[in-house]
Amino acid sequence: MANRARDFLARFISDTKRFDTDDVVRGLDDVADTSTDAARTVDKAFDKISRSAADAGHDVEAVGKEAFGEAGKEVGAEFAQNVGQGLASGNVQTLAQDTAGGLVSAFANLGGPVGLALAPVAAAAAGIFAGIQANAQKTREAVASMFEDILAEADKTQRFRTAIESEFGDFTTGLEQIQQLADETGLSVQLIGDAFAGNAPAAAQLQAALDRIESTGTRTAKATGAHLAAEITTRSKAAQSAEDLEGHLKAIAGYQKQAAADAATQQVATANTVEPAKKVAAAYKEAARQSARILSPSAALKAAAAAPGRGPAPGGIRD
Amino acid sequence: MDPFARQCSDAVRQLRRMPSELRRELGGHVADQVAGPLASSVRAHATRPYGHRVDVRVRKGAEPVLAIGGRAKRFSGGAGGVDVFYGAEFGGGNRFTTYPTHRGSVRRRTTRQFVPARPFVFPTFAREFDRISEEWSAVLDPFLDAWQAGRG
Repeated sequence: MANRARDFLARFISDTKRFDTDDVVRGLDDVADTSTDAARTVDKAFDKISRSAADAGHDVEAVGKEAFGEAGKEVGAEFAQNVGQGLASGNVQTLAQDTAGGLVSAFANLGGPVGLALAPVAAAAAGIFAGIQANAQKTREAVASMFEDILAEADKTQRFRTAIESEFGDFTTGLEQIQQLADETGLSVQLIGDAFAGNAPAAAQLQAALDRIESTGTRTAKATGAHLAAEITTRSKAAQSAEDLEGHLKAIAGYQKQAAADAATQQVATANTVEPAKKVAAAYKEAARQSARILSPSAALKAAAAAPGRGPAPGGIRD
Repeated sequence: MDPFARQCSDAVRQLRRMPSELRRELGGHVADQVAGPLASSVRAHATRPYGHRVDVRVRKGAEPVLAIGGRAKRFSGGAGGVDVFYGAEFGGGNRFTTYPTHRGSVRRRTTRQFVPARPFVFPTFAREFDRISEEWSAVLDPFLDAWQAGRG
């Protein structure tokens, strides 16, 4: 039996490119030219589709992240439980051979930010631990060494943080103070950090530097430069302020002078304006008086107004 | 590719990214209100002597979709609706098909199986493009508006 083709699915939007073939139908360009309204309508619909799909995509992404986060929490808890037991045995190498979960537990015990900061390291270590059973003793030792390094680093970090917070109250403020101390003494921030973390040689070095500053009052070139720059800035500001004040005083004097000159000018102008105005007003008054006299009704007119029967006939003279 | 055709393809791709429930619900509306009238129009423009034997059915989809053809034997040579459709719409070209004979089967070209070949599906699409586009948009706009309002 012959292989029969399936039904042809004609999709109105997807297959629009078929409209463009001249041997089948007239081109879509012609359609679009003659139907701008339809093209606009479709364009609007396309925009709406894109927005809707984008919104839906955000939803999917959010759900995915949430699910991933939940999964991560579960895995982390399992690690903590497994490796916490391994740590309790006290044998790090055995722990490395058995499971990777203890890393997370150890970091969790260190507390908050330190544990979080080292979580990626723990994840990397977990990847190595995954195939530990098939590896040689050398690899086991290397992993155990790395594990101890991580713990040592974490311990040091935690001690540093605790010392800074107890000394300065706030970790951020403490770091700023250390930076300033490094500028003053010429020591590196790393060395000062080690000193705060309990490193005896570093602490001695820091103390020596502080003693030197205390006794001799000498600072490093960098610190001196910084102080000089600060001094220059202060003086510059003071000079600028003085200059500004002088400028203000000059300006005020100028304003006062100008105001006096303006007042005098105004007085003269007033005098020049008021006198002619007075003359004009008098002339106007006199003219008004004359006009009133001329325009006042005569005695004859008043009499005619009092006796309307003697007046002229309305509508003109009649015979 | 033509810019508008590219835009169409992009819109279809975006449609596929929608949640399946939303797409299914939209597909019901589009099939009833848009694809149904389009199918009627295609049937009305089917050219004789064979075009009217082609099945034109509505498929649910976020865009109007028609299933055209019909696999049942409709003609003495064993051809069905889909064969007529391909022959009419695209002319067959060098397409070879196996046909049964009394001695077994034979493969031969389908080029001039049905003469004259007069396409009627895509010309109808092009002719009805304005109307169908507007109807589709009229279904799509309020549907997506309601969906987005429901999410907000």
